Amino acid sequence: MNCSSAMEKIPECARRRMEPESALAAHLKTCQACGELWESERNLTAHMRMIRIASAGRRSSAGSREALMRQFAEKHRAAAHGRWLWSLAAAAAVLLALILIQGAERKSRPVVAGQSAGAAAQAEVQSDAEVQEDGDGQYEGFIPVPYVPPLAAGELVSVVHTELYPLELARLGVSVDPSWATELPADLLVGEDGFPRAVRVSDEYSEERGF
Amino acid sequence: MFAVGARDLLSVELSHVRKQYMTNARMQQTDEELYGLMRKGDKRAFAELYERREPALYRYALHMSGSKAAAEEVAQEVFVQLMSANTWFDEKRGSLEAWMYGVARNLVRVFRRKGVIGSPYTAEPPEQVFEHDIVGDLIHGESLAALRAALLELPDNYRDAVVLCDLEERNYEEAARLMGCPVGTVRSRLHRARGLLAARLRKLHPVAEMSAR
Repeated sequence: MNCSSAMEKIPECARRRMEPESALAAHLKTCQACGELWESERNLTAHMRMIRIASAGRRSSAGSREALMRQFAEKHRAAAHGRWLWSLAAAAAVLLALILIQGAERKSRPVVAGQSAGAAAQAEVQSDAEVQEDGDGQYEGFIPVPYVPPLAAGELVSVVHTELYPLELARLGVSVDPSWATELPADLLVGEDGFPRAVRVSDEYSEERGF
Repeated sequence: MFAVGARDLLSVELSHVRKQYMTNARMQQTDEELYGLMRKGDKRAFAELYERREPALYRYALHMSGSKAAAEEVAQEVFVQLMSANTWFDEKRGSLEAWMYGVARNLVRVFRRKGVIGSPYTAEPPEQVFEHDIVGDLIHGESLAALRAALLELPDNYRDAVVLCDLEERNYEEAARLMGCPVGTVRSRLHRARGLLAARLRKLHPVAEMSAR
């Protein structure tokens, strides 16, 4: 073995604390330079081992660990609180959206003649006091709906404000202009059984459309 | 009465077994899995990760900086950064352990640049370590202090290799992963660093003297 190959093997052999193989051992006995390198590498390995063992059990203080754990818990408590608030806000937003959608659907749902009292109740109900009966069983401005049973004597009526398409108004006996495309505000005179008895296009429209 | 007692006992036993199972399962989890749980607020996962990695990180920072205070601060800061919302750790770019060592390395550099790190620490000598070692009687406080000082004077890359391979007993592959360089580079850095350190020790204790002893 020559010095070059010995010097390659010496550091690795020394740091692994291995005995030199026979060829290397023979070379170390004959070569002073390699022998010195071998000794200094072994010396260094021994020192390194000393430092390693001295620091083997070392670690951060318990206080440092506790501080970290506390910090972790606080951080995640705050995050969880934030998440909870966001969830609440999201739920509120969804609820609000549902209410708005439902409201819009209700508004756009056409009210047809003969609909149930329950459905009619979804519309705005005006107090009976606003409707005055004239002498012969007719109500002011209202057009009687054809083919419905008449009101019984003393039957209470209510006025339901709603919006109706021209086709629905025509079904209720109101003459309409075919050019009208949008819903028109109308009042329905509803008996106690929930059936509309008369219909009236709201005042502003009556004037505008010439009722 | 007996049945109730037996049921309670069984319940306690099952609870213990479940706890043991969870502990074992956590110990078998990778750093990255624990990190994922930790990010979701699992305190036990964080504690497990801390127990697993903190001692080695502390020692690494201690050897790299030569200061106990700096080592403690570095080790703590690594975990503070780990739990911060904008952690840069990316699993695709390397292991969590390598990321932690990278953070520790950078923090030590910052400490050294700022001059926060003072004189090298002094460690208590271990008892009866070298009772059968041929050079054991040569080793004393003076030469250890000299070696520590020499270690701190090494270039950062060389010191990194010595600390990981010789003081932390990592193999070349692990050291390469933690240093983010090829195995061959680790090997050459280590050999050069050892050459420098050995030269420093030779000045203190000439080889002839050592051989004589």
